[in-house]
Amino acid sequence: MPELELQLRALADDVLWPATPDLAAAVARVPREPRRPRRRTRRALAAGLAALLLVPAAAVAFPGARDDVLDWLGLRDVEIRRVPAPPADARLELEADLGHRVTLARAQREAGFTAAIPAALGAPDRVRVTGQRISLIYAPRPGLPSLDGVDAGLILTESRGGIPGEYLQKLLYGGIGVERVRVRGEPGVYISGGEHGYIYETPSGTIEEDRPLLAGRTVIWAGGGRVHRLETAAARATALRIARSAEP
Amino acid sequence: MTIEATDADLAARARSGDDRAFGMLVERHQTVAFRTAYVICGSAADAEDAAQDGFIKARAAIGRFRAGAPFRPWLLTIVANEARNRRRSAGRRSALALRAAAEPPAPVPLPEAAALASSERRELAAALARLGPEHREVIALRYLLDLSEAECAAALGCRPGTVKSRLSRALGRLRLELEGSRA
Repeated sequence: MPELELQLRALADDVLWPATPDLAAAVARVPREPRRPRRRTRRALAAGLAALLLVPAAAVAFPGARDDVLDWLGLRDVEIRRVPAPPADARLELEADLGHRVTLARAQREAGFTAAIPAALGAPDRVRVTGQRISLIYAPRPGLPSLDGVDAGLILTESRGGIPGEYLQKLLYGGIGVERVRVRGEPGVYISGGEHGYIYETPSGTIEEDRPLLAGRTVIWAGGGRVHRLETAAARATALRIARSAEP
Repeated sequence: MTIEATDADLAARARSGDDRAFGMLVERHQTVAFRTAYVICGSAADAEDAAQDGFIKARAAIGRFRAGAPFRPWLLTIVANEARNRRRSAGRRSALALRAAAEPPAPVPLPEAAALASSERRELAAALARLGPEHREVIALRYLLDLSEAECAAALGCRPGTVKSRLSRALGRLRLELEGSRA
């Protein structure tokens, strides 16, 4: 073998590989995806799959049979339930779904609370508000790749928990992982593995249960009387670092 | 005497829905999968996500895995695709942490031969780090991870013959880098 190749093989002993994570345990936590036909489009993903439903603890009933309740989350305003199939009319989230665009100060006045700003990112590029829900939007940048359907690298949505009628639903399709995490000492979950759907109550109080919005990897946590939803296509570690830097 | 199940045995059991068998495949191959993803992504966090998502997709697709085929190249194809997707998203340049490159010269005198070897390794690591991703990846997979040519081809998404030619070009480029640094 030529000298250079021998030197490269010897160099292999000097590589400082990062510690291999326990992938076996992580994979085992993700439920096996049911068999399904070949995917046609992202927007058709919702059709025909088993699903998990994340709802507030005091939420209204969701149509469809529930065969499981995952109440290990410990989130005061949210719980996960498994449902046999999500509504078929899901679509990608658009920025307009987050409300009208305003300044941060105006959003806080309208929502009636002070938004938690992630110190890791600083001031948001755009702010939107609807009802008592504030969304901080950060433009794509290195480490924060663009989200599907939205010109943003990260969206942090905050809403007040424990308010009658105020609630959040999550639809997690088969194969989507749900992992329990802690954010600033508060319970939360990290959702990964593909698109999931979510439903909010609109400011007028209506809940469009048949038209969930599709979103990507998301950290959800409770704390300070709020429910936080951080969506980004960035790596899990990045998403959690940013979430943990959000000052209440 | 305990006979360890082969990949083919475990894959066959996994195809019939045995999650424990698939879990054993994950345990067996998680290090090479994670490191392959790390070579491509250049980020441990992205590599972890890529490898995890790759295993989840492999489990979902295990029914399409051809009985009798080697499992590791099939798995590395899936994991490497996930890693490339993340690298494209992040626009990140991969880099390997090499002890030889990172460590300063030893503070105590070394025997002459050992000092020479240490210096050459640092030069080699630095030259490798200066290569473009296409050249650096094929060298890292083949020599630092000790993948076979078939496994390199699977990870790089090309034919084994392409691995040979790409490796030849990469080694040539690496020699030029070394000559340049010694000139």
